[in-house]
Amino acid sequence: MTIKIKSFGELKELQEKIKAGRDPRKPGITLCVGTGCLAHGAMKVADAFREEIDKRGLSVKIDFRKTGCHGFCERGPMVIISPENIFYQHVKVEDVGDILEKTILKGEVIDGLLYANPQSGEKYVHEDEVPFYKLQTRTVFGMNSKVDPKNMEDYLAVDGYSALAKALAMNPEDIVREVVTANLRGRGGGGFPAGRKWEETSKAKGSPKYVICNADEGDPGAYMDRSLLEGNPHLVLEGMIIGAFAIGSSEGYIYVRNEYPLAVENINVAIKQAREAGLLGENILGSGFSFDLKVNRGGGAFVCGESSALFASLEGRAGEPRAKYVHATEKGLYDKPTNLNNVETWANVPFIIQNGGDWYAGIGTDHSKGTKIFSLVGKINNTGLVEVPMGTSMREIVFDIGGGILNNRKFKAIQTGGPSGGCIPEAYLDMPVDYDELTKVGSMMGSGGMIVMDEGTCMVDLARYFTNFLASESCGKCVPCREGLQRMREILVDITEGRGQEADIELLESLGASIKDGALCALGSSAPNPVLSTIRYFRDEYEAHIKEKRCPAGVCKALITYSVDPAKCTGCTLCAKVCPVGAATGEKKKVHAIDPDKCTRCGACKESCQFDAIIVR
Amino acid sequence: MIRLTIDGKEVVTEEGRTILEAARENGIYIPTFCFHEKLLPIGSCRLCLVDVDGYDKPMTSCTTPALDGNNVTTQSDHLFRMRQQFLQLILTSHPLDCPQCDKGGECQLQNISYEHKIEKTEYEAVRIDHKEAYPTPLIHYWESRCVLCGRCFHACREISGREAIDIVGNGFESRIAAVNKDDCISCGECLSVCPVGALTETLSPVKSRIWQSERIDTTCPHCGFGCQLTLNVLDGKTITKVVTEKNLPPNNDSLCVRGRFGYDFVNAEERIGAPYRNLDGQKKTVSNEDALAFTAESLKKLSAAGKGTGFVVSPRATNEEIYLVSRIAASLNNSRVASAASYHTGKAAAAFAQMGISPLYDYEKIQTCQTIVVAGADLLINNHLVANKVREAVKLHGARIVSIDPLDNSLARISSAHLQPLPGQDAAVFNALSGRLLKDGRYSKDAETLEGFAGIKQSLEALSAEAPVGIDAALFDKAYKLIADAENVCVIFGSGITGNEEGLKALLNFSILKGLPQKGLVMPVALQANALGAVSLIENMAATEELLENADIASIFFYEDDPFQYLNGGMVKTSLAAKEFVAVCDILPTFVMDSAGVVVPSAAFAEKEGSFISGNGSLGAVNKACKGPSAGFDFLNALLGRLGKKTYASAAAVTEEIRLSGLLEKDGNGAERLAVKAGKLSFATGGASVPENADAFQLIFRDIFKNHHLADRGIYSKGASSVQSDALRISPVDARELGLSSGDVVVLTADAGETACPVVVKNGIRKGVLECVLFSKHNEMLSISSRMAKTIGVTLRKA
Repeated sequence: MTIKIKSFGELKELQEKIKAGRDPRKPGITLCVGTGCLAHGAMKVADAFREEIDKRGLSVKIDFRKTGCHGFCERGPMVIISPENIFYQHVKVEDVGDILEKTILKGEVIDGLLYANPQSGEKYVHEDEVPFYKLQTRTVFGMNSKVDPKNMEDYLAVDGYSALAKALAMNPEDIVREVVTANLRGRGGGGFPAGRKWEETSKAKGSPKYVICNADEGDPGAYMDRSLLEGNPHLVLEGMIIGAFAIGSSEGYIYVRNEYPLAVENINVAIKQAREAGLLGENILGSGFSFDLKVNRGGGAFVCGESSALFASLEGRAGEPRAKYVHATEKGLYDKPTNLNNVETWANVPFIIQNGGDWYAGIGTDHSKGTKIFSLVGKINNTGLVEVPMGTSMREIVFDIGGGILNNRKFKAIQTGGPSGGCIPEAYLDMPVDYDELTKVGSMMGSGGMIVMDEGTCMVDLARYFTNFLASESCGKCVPCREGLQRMREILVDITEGRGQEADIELLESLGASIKDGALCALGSSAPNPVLSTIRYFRDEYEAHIKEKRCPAGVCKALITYSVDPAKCTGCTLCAKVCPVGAATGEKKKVHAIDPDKCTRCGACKESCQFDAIIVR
Repeated sequence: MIRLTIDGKEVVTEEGRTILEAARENGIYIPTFCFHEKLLPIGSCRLCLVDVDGYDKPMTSCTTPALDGNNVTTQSDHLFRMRQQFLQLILTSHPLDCPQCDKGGECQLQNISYEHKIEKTEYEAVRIDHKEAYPTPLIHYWESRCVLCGRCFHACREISGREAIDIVGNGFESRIAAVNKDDCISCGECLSVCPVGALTETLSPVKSRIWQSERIDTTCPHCGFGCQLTLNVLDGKTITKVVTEKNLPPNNDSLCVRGRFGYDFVNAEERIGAPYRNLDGQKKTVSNEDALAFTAESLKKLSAAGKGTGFVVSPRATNEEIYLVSRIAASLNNSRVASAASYHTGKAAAAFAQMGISPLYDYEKIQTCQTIVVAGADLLINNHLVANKVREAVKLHGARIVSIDPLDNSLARISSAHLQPLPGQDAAVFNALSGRLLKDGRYSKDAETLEGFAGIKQSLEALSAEAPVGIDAALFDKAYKLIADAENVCVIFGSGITGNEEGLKALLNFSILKGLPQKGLVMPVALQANALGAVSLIENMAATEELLENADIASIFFYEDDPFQYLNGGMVKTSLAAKEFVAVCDILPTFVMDSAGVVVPSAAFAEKEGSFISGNGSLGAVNKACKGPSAGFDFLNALLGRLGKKTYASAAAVTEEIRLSGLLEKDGNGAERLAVKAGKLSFATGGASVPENADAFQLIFRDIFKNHHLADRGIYSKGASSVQSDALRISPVDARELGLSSGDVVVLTADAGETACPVVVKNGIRKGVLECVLFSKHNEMLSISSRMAKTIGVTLRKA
């Protein structure tokens, strides 16, 4: 698109023109090519669709659209057939011909591609009937399945940039007031009220003022910001332009994690399109307001998600937090007033402007408003991204939307808020999920990561894993984080390797408390959470490791032995075949044995045994 | 003012202070470790945590602003335990190798651990040592001892304006590394702020603990800034290191590479131990008495014959020595005293006197200026501390810098505008700035009442108020705006300006027009430790070549001076050959000694009593740190006696006489400084012409007046020579045109000859200009020009 939109009226006209040119009855195929689906081979499926559509001369008769992530990553690659909204999952290249032949041309539903409830076996034809989607409120994320991220017309067709037009006609103070009324809290980790940041930045003296989008999402297993930026970059842009207008900024940055090349590509395409269309740059939509932004790729340090470290990195210095005696809203990037929000926060802004702060404040709990996107990973059936109103219970998220625990095993705990979040045990499953409740139980909202653990997870090992991650990602500036996390890591390694000592738990607790209170930035002060929360809820596991030199979950290799249950072993020889070191041996149809001296505790025998005959102790 | 309560005590402080500052002002102790007064708060050690009502966590007092009504607790069991825990964490990865460590006995970690009763550490995990080279060979980085407090790389940036070192790696693997080795200027600020022995100096000839050596305060003998430093002396003989820890003005614990590491010449093996005479090309050692008698007789004889006597005295000699030289000169007929101070400080002082500008200035006034103009001065080698003061003004007060220099200089990188006039074009730049101030009516209205205003107005109106040819117009406009908008302006200039009379006049006229020195300050930097002293003490001071070339001067006495360092050596040699008597008194072998009939040893600065007058006019004490006689002073004093004049009981007696002469006065704080003769401010006439130069290149000498005790006939300071060297630099544009790359040898030709040397391509140099930094090759480089000049015209070709 190269037409420059010069006024609000022209925007409206263009939106209507695009909509009018689209026949709602026209058959359409929407394929998710988000990162999860790509990993499942979605690009090959896309190529196959293109080829088959061309071969059959259907290219004018049907719309084929590749979109960003829909969230149900477990079931990718996914296809939605419009206008019926038929939902196909696990679509393979071989299915492409069938879909065109049967569904598109004959209107038949292919049973084998439908989603079936793993518990009940019930099958669902339409996307909105699938419990995973049905139970969500996909306000921010829902648009992902409707737009091709590289096609701005798609975004305009769903009334994209209308919020911007509305905002540009408002007083900047009124925009800030709407965001304050909405009580939108930062989705990046801190949960700081965005409205307050906006208010402070708009009042701060100094120029230029900056707006920055923090897209340095670094939590392992979390990818909501990535999916938004990859899947609907214009939504994020629209939020930022509104924010810039509200606080009086003319320059902005999007700081994207270097490991997100597709996000960088799509946001750059979107910026170029927006610039050409007069939605960015000089005199936006003829309003007289000018704003432009640049994309900056991060250096790969987890700590750069921390605001002052992010500024340092943007300024070309080492990504190291600085002591914050002045708020970034007054002295941020280059010591100028800066409004930094993360991707999801910015993506919420157009909805608040369109529907009003009161509308937004009507969703959620007392102090946590709106919806929140969570990444649901771990030992769960429906791995993916889910968006629910604040206050939805953990049980609903894990069992109703998430489809429960893999292989019908027992739920043990859920870790929320990324690597420095805490682990919440089963007793709190009915707790409403919001900022304050999560903090109360020793965890946090963070950016919305949720890692589900089953009974096979060792909580000490888990704490060791996250502490190891955080110690490696510590920037090394302040003593508690640099030295303290290293000590915690060493103690945890000792415990999981059978060298734990009586006083270790107390030492971890006291070190953890000091780091929490004393560290310079949020990375450090939240880093002890995994250890402290697992000690709080699973102290007995620590004690078993230390006192009995036993790993109850059977995970810590130094503390476990593999043996064969003679009562269950059928002598099928499978364990002997899969054992990489020849520790499992035995004759056919006779009880097998495992040589503990040779065994490396890799677990291959246990995984392969069909008769549950491998005992881990 | 705001009120807050700290540990139950109500204290009052200024708004904007931190809790730590408020506590310290009121005598309340909060332990700190990474905090350093000269640096912005770092906040890495977390030891200064305090509880503040209203905050849910302890706050670092070094970074938390004190607010009205705060209730602060600095000591509690909980805080003490946290501090203990953090100290234990630091000690876990810090080796307890205190007996081997340089810092033993003066280590902050030792002190604070002891204070916090750390009796054992829970773990042991010594950091690995990557054994990577530190950016300067003068400092060793002991990675395993490093506690990563961050002071060093903050000092590198904040104090010295460099970015040579940084923290690299993550978490426990973090370490300090040379991220930009070439940016290091070996100033040693990192070394001086290191709280532990992670950075140690490699130059000390012997090691000694703080309680084993004597510490004597004195004034730095290198440039004229007047740094106060402390010599660590073992057995009254060997200087083992230089420290600055007393926060004394003007340098407040900062030093440059020469101040910190340029001390070893004092103990150099080559020191001249006994007087000798050059007889038939042979050096013949003689007794002190013989040397004295021979000198006295020779001078007396020539004087009696009506022949003139010349004295060339070093601007690094003490006031007392210079005074004795002038007394000796006064006792002889037709005598003149010359000094290398005449080339820069002498010219500036003369112009100041003529225009009624006080030569005294207060370095701290820089902090009150919004715009700082630095013209023709590279504050990297000389007066590095002035650059530090300027950086402080930028860092703490948001001052902006306008650099006026054809070359890159130490402040160019943080300048808001860097104008690059050709040598000689400075006058045009300042005239254009003045012209525009007049045109816009933005000059100081006080100027209208001054003598010469009408004349200057008329002549400026006839000139362009636009950017001179070759100067970027947008940058010029920016510079002008910064100057016009500033209420107070500081103008700092060096020998790049005084080398050209018109430029100096134009700069001073511009300064007066802008309301200086009332509304800011105008300051020449002093290149030698006692340049202003020499200028003030010597009446009718000559330039050295005037004496050399004057046939009426039949004898010359060089006192700690070697003209081969700043004049064409061939010319000096020829001139001296024609003299009937030449005497040299100095501490180390110099080129001029070859031409001397008698050579007498002198004393190094650390062996003398006396004083220097720094560039700002303040009197700095030179104190005797090493045992032994002050040979030079004693020789001058005895010579005075042999010439039938009054001798002095001590250097102090000479100081007293200088005092009585009215040359010194006390400032408001009781400190002694040069007495100022009040003058009436007026404009200078002239200062308008822009000389055209036909030469292909203008070669600018840097550091021509370095202390020759660092290197002359030989290299006498291993410290300075290990990090400083001669260099010829060319702009990338010229290099491209001539097909040159760094390392290529070029031949330079000027009016008196040619020389070959390797060239380095460097950014930031204006096209058509060459930068020549001198360290030990003064002779070769100066031999190509017949006259003494900061800038010479040369042609250049690839060898």
